Formats: sequence, structure tokens, C-alpha cells
Amino acid sequence: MKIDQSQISSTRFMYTIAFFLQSSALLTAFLSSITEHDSWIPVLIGGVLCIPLILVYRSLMVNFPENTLLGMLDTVYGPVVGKILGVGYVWFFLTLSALNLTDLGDFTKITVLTETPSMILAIFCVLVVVWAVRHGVKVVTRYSALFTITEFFIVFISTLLLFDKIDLKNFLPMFQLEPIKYIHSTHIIATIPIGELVVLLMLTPSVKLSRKTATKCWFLGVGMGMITLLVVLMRDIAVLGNTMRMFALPGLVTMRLIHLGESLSRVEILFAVALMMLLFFKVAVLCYVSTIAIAQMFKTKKYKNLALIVGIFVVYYGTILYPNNVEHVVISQEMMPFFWGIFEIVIPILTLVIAKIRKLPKKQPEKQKQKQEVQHAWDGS
Amino acid sequence: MGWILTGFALIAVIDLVPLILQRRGRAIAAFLTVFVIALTIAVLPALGVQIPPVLTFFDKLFKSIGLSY
Repeated sequence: MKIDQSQISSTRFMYTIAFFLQSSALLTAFLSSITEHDSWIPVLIGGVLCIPLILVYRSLMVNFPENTLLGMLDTVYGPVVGKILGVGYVWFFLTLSALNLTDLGDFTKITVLTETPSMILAIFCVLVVVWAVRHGVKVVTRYSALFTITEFFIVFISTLLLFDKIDLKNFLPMFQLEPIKYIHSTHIIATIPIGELVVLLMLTPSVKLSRKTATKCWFLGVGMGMITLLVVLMRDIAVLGNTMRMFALPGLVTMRLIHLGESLSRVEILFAVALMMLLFFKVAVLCYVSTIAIAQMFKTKKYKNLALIVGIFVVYYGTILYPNNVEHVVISQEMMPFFWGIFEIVIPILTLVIAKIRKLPKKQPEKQKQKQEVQHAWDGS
Repeated sequence: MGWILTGFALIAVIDLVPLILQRRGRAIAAFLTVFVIALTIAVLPALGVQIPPVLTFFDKLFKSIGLSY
């Protein structure tokens, strides 16, 4: 069922993947408190280990080009189990939207608008998001390339400006922590930024991809995103060393250290603005996906009328997710990798395996072609 | 409280009324489902009723079955 009729190019989809990962640069603190100065290692390992997962997402997209993720579940598991899993995914999308919106509100409050309540920031952000969602996937993803490149540029410039503060000894000693800590961090990387890409399977009918283009888009997009994350993390470790684990936003602290004489300081605002931009777009994509998913569950194409109420729901839902920020970090580090793994790793892999066993999707066009040929033969006779 | 109810009434006027006029049954059902849940989550804390944090519940659940670091 195609709810939004608009289409996006494969290039735009690739940049959407990239910015989706880049926006997780805010969450490097999740890793730094576990693997400290070795946090770049799990990012590298996680990136390599997730190649099969990316192939699963790509294969689902290529095999079910006309279906969203919920459609794929319906086709593979049947209407009853498919709907039950669909409800789970709707909840997952809404929860991700609420978590990212809360992160955006809190981050904006800490860095730029310190006097403004987070709720007001979230509501204004959601109003813009709703406007974009109402205009379809084309508008939601329009500036993905621009913001991905801007983030690249900011990361590159900031690394150059911090060159005199980089101390490579901060990476030493390597591999001195317990193995479980590396496993833990790799699990976080696999589920929190990379696994979240499963939401992009909801965009499948809006992107026309051949097998070759799909592989290119997924791997280039993930590559760009992971390189940004890795560079940000390595820059922060090289500058802050082991003190990194003391900060909730190490990237912001690193950028605060940039001083070029008297003229150029307070550059952290660049990092703040870039991250707000990326998080805003992540929230926009997540709200779009949530709205489309709800519309699909109810089999309606009037998704535009649902956008505003979904947005407002996400704002209020964010207030009841966790009691405080400390618990948010603890839950995200300890429980989330297992919980999110169900939606991001287990179900997609199972879906692809069952689809292969059941030889799904059935090739409808060929059947129709045969029927048409038979019809023509009858007409001819 | 007044602001919350006014806001929700405004949303209903903007999005629900056109759906009712067009007699879109499924879309109305979808809208009302989200609307009722959102209104409940918004109004309860304003009335002093505390809603237990959703992720804390799952955290306890997963820890109880040993799936946690």
C-alpha cells in the first residue's frame, strides 16, 4: 500500500542514510563512559560487523520494492501476526521519535536557548516537522545532502583548528579494558545508530532502487555516516583523552577549546547548530515514518491529517519515557541494545529468511502477463 | 490545563473536522486513536496523576529476565 505518492531519488536516499547516522554524534557519551579512550574501536568493529545487517535491509528493500516495512511484515507473516508486529513497530517508531525530540529539546536548552523550557522548543520543532510531513517524503528529505555535507565540513574544519591540541598519546594504552566492555560498546553502536536505519525501510515505495543502486546507496550512506562518527569520536579522544568520560557532550567541550587568537573563539556554536540541524531532520524523518505507519495500520491514505496529532503525541510521549536524564543514559546503555535489537536485528533477519523460504514476494507482474497472454489468445481465437 | 484543552480542540478543528466532512471512517478512527492517547498523556500530569515512565518499565522487565549489561 503506497500512502505517500511522492518519490525521492536514490542519491537523496543515500544522504538520508548518512545524516541519520551523523545525527548520532550527540550520543558518543554513551560509549565514552564504557570504553573511554578506546571508544573508536567499537565504532570500527560495529561498522564492520553491521555489514550483514545492512545487506539484510538492502535485500528487504530490493525484494519488496512496493511495500513499506509494515507491508513486508503483512506479506511474510500473514495479516494477523503481521499486524501484531506492525503495532510493535508503530510503537518503536513513536518511541524513537519521542526520544530524539527530547534529546533535541534538551540539547538546544543546554547550548543555545538556556531560558526556554524544553517543551516549548519541542512544540515549535514539531510544528515545522508537521509542515514538512504534510508535504511528503520529498520535502522531509530535501536538504539531506546539504546538511550531510555541512556536517562533514564542520567536522573537517574543527579537526584542523584543533590540530595543535591533538595528542596521539591519548589513544594509549589500547585494548587494556575488559573484553565485555568492547562487546557492550559494539552492541550499542550496532543498535543505537546503525540499527535505527531500519526505519528507512518504511520509505521503500518512495525510492526506486535496482539491486546495484540499492547496494551503492546503503553502503555509501552508511560509510559516510560512520566515517563522520569515527572522526568525531577520534577527534574528541585525541583532544580530551580520558577526561572525555566526564562530559555529557564531549563534542561540545572539544569545540570550546578552539581559539584562534582573539578573533575566533566560541566555535562550539557551529557544532551545536550542526547537531540541531541533523537531529531536527532525524525527528522529521521519524515523525514522517510514524505517521505513514499509523496511516497504513488503519488502511487510510489521509496521512496528512494525522501528522499534527502524531507530532503532538510525540511531544507529550517524550515526557513520560524516563524519569530523568541520568536514568535515560543508564537505560540506553544497559537495556536498549537488547530491546532495540528485537526490532532492528531479529525481526528483519527473520523476515528475510522466511521470505526466502516461502519464495516471497510472489512475482505478480508475470502472472498478470500470463493471464493477459491467455486472454489475448482467447480473443484471437 | 486550559491551554492543553484549547490546543487539542484546535487540532481537532484543523484535522478531524475535514475528515468527518469527507466521511473518511478509517482516517477518523486513526486520528481519534492517537488523539485520545495524546490527550490522556497530556491531561493526566496536569491533573496531578503521575504516569510511570515507559522505558523504566521495560528496563525492569529486561533486567528480570537477565537481558541487560
